[in-house]
Parts: sequence; C-alpha cells; structure tokens
Amino acid sequence: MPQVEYKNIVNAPMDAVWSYVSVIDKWAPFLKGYVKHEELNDKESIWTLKGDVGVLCRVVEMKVNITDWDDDAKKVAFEIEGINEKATGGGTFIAVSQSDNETELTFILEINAGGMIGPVVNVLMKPMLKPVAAEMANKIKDAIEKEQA
Amino acid sequence: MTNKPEKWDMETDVLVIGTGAAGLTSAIVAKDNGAAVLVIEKSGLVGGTTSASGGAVWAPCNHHMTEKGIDDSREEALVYCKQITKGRVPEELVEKYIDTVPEMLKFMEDTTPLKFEVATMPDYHPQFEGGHDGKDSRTLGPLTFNKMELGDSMAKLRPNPTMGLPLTFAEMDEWDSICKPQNVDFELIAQRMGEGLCGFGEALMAALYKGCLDRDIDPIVNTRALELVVDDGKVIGIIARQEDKEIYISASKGVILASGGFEWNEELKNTFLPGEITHPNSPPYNEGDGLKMAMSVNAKLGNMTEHWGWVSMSIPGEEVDGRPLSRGSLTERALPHVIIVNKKGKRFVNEAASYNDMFKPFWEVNENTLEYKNLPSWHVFDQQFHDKYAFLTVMPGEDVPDYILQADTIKELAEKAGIDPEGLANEVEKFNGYVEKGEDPDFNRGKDVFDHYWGDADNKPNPSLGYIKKPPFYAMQNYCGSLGTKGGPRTSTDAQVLHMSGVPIPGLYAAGNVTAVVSGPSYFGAGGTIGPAMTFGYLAARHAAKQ
Repeated sequence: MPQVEYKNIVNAPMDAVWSYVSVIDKWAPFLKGYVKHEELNDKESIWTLKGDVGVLCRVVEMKVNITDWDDDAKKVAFEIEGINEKATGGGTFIAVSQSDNETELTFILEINAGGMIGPVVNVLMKPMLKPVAAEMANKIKDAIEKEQA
Repeated sequence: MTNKPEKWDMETDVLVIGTGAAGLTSAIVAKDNGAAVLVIEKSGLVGGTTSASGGAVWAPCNHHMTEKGIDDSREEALVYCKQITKGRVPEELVEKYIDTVPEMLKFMEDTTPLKFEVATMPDYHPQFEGGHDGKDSRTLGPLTFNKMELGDSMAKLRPNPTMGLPLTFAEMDEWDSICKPQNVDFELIAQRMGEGLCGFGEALMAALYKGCLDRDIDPIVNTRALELVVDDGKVIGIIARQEDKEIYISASKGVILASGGFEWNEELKNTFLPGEITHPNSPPYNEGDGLKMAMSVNAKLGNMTEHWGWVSMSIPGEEVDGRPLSRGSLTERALPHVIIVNKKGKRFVNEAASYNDMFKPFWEVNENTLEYKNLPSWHVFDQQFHDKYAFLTVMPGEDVPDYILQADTIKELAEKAGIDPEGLANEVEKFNGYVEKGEDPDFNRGKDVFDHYWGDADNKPNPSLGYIKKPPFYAMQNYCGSLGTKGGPRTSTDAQVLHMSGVPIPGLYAAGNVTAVVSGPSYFGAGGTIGPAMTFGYLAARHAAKQ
C-alpha cells in the first residue's frame, strides 16, 4: 500500500495550528487536484478530486470518514473509500508543540488501489503521493503563518 | 527569392523535425552515415504518436521470420500490398518499402538497443492473395525496455496513456490476455514497472531515444518548426519558435519532416477530410506543421482524404495532455456478445474488421439529409460480455460505472441511449439468429482468421459471434477517433519530398504520417504505420547524409 509521511514545522502556536487544521473547509482546496467536497455530517464527506495516475488524469470521488478526532492529542485520523474507483486508504494529521511558537505538523496519507489492476495503479501512484503530501502540508503551513502574521 | 537569415542560431547537416519512430530512426541513421544531426520536438516530451501506439512493425521477409523458419517472399508481399493500395500508391514506393524494411530493421537492431520478436498477428486482410495469418506473421512486436537506461532523460520520454504496460505481444498470446486482460499477472507487471520497464510503443521509442543519446543526439524539445528557409530552390534550414522567440536553424544536407499528421488541426481537417475526427487518439501536437511547410514549397500532395481511423470512446473526466483521452475500441467491438449500431438500431459494419477499415462506414452520409448515417453510434453488449471480458477499464465482474448505460431490456436500453427501440430489438434478434448459425451474412464478421484473432477461441462455434440475450444490457457511445492522418507530401523512393512537377525538392525529405503513406487508403497489418515510417526515415537519412 503506497504510504507517505510528511512533517514540517509551522511557526505558530499549537492551538493556532489545531484550530486551522480542524476546519476542513480551510485546507481542503490545498489538496492537489481538489475540485470540491461536500460534508454529509460531522464525520463524513464526499470529495471530488481530479488527479493524475501515471500519465492519465481522472476525476475520482471519494468518501472520507473521520474515525478519530482527538482534541487532547491534537490528532485527526480518517479513512478513505473510493466511490467511482476501487481504492481505500486513510490518513492522519498530528500536531505536536515544539515551543511556544513552533508546532510540528505531521501528515500521513496512505492509499491502496483495488481491483485486478490495483497493483499496477499503486506503482503509478507511489511516486506521486510524496509531492502531493508535501505540497499540501506546505500550503497549510504558509496559510497558518500568514494568519499569524 | 530567399528568406535566408544573415546569421543562423544553430547549424547542422541534417535537421529532423519530430521525435516519433520516423524522426528518431532518421536521426540515428543520418548520424551513422557521417552527418551532424539536430532533432527538434514541438512538445516537451520525446516519442511522438508512436509512443501512444502498440509499437508493432509490419515487415515482410524480415530476419526474425527467417530465423523462425517462416516463409515469405518479395512477390507474395507485393501481390498483397497491391490489393491494399488499390492503385493509389506509386508501385515503386511499395517495392522500395518491401525491399528496404528488412535491411532497416537489421541495421536498427544491430546498432541500437531496439529489439523485436515475431508476433502472432495476422495481416489485416489475410484472405487476400499473398496475405499471411498469425502462424506466419509479418508483424514484429518490440521487447520491453528499461527506461532507467535513459538516465535523467527518462523524464523526457512520452508515456503511453492506454497501452503502457511492460508486456510483449508474445506474452499476451502466451497468457491468452488479448481477449481476457484479466489473465495478465498484474503483480508481475507492477514489479516490472517498479523496475522501470515499459512496453509497446513506449518501449520502441525508449529504445530509439537511447540509440540517439548514445550518439550524443538529444532532441531539443519545446521547439516548433514554423517555416522552411529556401535559397535558390533548395531547402537549407528552418525558422522555429522557442517560447516567444524565433530561431534560425541551418541544415546543409537536408531537413527531414517527421512531424506527424494534422488530426489536431480543425482547418486542415475541414479542408481535406470527408468526415469528422472529433476524438483523435494521438498526442495533441499533430497540427499539420510539416504539411503546411511542404505546401509552402509547392509539394505534390497525396492521400489527403485518409487517416488511421479508430472508433473510440471516452471515459468522462479522463484526460491526457490536458485534453479528454480518446480510447480506441479493439477487443471491445470484436469479441462475442457485442455489436455496434447506429441510431436506427442497425448494424452497419463488420465490428471485428481492422480498426482502420471498419471505420470507413462511420463517414457515410445520407444523400437526402446530409447527416451521417452511422453517427452517433453505440457499442451494445450484454451481461455475458461483462462476465467474461474487459470493456475499456472495467474488468469482468467489477461494478459497471454510470458512464456505461445499462438496462434490463434491449428496448429500455435503446430509449436511454436515444436509439430506435424497435430497430435495436429487431437487430439483436436477427444477430442472435446469426450467432446460432455461426455466420454473419450481413457483414461476414467472424469469417476469417483476422476476426478470430481478436475474438475468443473458447467461444463456439464462432470466436467472434455471441448471443446478446442476458440482462442487464449495456451501451456506450462511440466517437470518431484517429491515430493520425496519412495524407501529405508525396515522396520519392529516397523519401525526398516531390514538387508538384514531380521532381524532388532539394534538401527536403519526409517520413511517417506527415506524408502520403505507402499503404494508401488501407492498412497492411499491425505495424503498417510504424514500419513504413521507420523505413522511409531510414532512406531519407541515408540520402540526405550523402549530399
């Protein structure tokens, strides 16, 4: 299963980071290929992404289900299930205070293509996950730091 | 009159425009014949239309056939080709092709990493005199190639959007995966991809690209040829555009046009083609640049109404190069339990015929309404098809996506698609009667070994014909695809572009889809595009290098 973990230091207090990450609407458009998302309830949402798989670009719809929202540990975990593509996965955001004005934000994302050609799709997706995670994490960092400025 | 500049920005002996099979073969051969070579490419990636293809080469009397003990002869091949070209191609051009393709292949395999093996594909009309079936195939398929050998240049190789798996034709046969892709060992394929292997057209182009890099030829990408530079009637270079500046490139021995067809140029299509191409299958850079340059020096044109037609379908949201991806129909139309119908619900073609030739009825026009008789049209299939075979990217047994229409009855399906319900119901009933007999008297589907090759050998009594009777029923709309146009400047047997007067234009050569191709209106067999492209690229380069 292709998995990526990306960490960066946000120059902001942990509460500010957590407050930002807790509002999905704020950072959702930072995900590469983001088209839209629709919240079904507190935990579930449908995401539409236009993403590259190898040389191809496809529109995928995914259901995201938040499985763990821990305000104390500053951690959000979620599961992903493909609607129009056979894929499952999940992810985690964890915020850890480093100092009064520094927070380590960790983003873990894993996704597994299913079906007969799943192994092939996974090979194509693997090199793409890290840049996607990095771009999103860096945009979140920039946005939080801009809010703090 | 001349448009020769006071100063050239780049100078070379032979300038090649385009990086498909014709272009890179030309570059390698020109270099090995002592010429300094530059290659320019309009897009940002190397590989041209060939990268998007199966990478096969149709080559009568080639050395791989000889090694396998397969009989062939010049005479047999010529007899066959004449029935394909229907008198619309100069005989000396066909003869030159037959005489040179074995030599070209041997040279390329001896001097580059490019390697082929005999496939088992029949000629596209094996029933014609001189035609070969799959047991003595004239089609060669490329071996897989490891892109890692390209080093940093790997990122410049154009990937294949629809036939990108690192597989060979022989493996597809061995695994019986042509009609049943579910037989492919996808874990093995994933492992190969992880190692850097590629297959089909991408493998062919990767190997040619490596051959170029080994000769210190690295195509200059994002450079579009705009205009020929002519002095005293001789082509001596070009004007090209790089980003927002124009540059002059001299070519003392010759300019070789290998820039593809014009299937992405609306004005040229409207000018020359008798029907629409709404969904080209090639990269969107084939805009007739080479054709326009040839026309500017009064080249003699030929075969302008023809293209490598391919009935295609489109999965909503799927894009490549920023444009909707057009997926050509191969097994989807040739396997049992599927037919193609027009809006009246009527079949109008042998669905299993070669993709180029079965396309022709799509452009038929009603003489009263001037509407296309067979557009729009649809693939119509049943659950038996879906139980056994893949349709586009949908594997057997997988959920059928919304973009494929489905219904519990044929009439209901017809209503959803906008097909005449009575017409479709009657046609399906008639077709099922043909299935019972194992014969299709309307269109001879399943009559020859070509149709059987693309059918299912396990389907009895005819590998091409299967009942459409198990619900649910499915429909998917077709579009006019094309792997490229195949009309352009006529060329000599040395691939020199001919002037309207019939004499060669000094300094100008052409090979591949930019030209009036050697197969004329039809198609010899799988690889009937790339084989001539490489062969006339080879001839052009040898002639130019000697100037």
